[in-house]
Amino acid sequence: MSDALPWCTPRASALRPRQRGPPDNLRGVSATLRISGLGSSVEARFSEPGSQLLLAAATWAWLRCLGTGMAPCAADPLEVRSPGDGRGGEMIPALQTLTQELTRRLITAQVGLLLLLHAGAVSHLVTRESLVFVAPGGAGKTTLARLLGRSYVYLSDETVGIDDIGRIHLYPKPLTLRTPQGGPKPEASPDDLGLARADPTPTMKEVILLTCPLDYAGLPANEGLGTLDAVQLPPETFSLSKLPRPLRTLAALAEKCGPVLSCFYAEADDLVGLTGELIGSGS
Amino acid sequence: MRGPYQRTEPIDQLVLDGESIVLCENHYVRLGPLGTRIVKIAETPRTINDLTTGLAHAFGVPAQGSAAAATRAAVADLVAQGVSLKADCD
Repeated sequence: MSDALPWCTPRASALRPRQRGPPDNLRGVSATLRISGLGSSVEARFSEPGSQLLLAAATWAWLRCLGTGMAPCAADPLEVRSPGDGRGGEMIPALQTLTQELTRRLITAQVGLLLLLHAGAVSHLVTRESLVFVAPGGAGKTTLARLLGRSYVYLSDETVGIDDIGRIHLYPKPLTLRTPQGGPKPEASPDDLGLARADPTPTMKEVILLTCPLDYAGLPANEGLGTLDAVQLPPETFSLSKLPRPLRTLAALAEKCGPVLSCFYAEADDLVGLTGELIGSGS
Repeated sequence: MRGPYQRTEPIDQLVLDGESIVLCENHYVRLGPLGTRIVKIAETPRTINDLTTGLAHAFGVPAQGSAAAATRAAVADLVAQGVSLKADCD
């Protein structure tokens, strides 16, 4: 497995227009990507001169979210700005910005309709039961999604949308990777990272609130939360107040999935065993 | 502090076992039994005396200090946290 950028890996490079062109399902819509996720969809339009390399890179990075039709709820289209001459230094932030903009639009389209959590999620390959791990930025959601996604189905590394009957609406977006030197984060296709493909109908089984303190050492420490403690999620939700009866929706969710766990941990590897206990062992 | 006090409608409130969480526009607040009871009593305008009587009925009188002073302090906390309680200064 490589941390190389998706747009400069051999497979991604093969998608560049001069070499092979976009997949068949994209022919005829060469300047537009239809991205589906969170039960919605958004059109990304690459009409500016010089945006073709970004289109090729985005096509690969977003392959799992490419829709052939518009979902019932459609977000505002996105006019993608050209990253300049398309060389590496500009492509990385351009792809990161693209991910942020697409995510923002998909979230906005579902405000008031789905419970939208700042969370990653994976599901069991057979049972489709899912683990949702809620955490603020920098607490390890992407690292955990990347790790668990080798044995479980990758659903998202950043945003999870749940409807009122507990169905998770997929958002298998590119994973936003940290780099040791900091700065713009490259976007990696789930396919480049070897993550398992999503089943269309995962259901929520367990929710963990993750905390990764810098000074924490040792094995994960878990605590089951009472309902009132479990619903104190507003900092990690998007526009919760726009949902009808938001706290009661959260409470119903918490009670449906059993005790929500609060988990302090140091290393993502240490959570593999816990995941197996909660939703069953992965493949 | 002046009264009477009345709760304003929160976006949502979840009450369980005498405690609650109140969701306001931009924040939420966890309320213990005292705060939860005050918010419940103040569904219609209430003076500090009304609230003190209601709290004493529910929880008895405090072991130390005056019930009215404890009520005023609790109400001040709720107002400071913006929890659906406002003084009607008409």
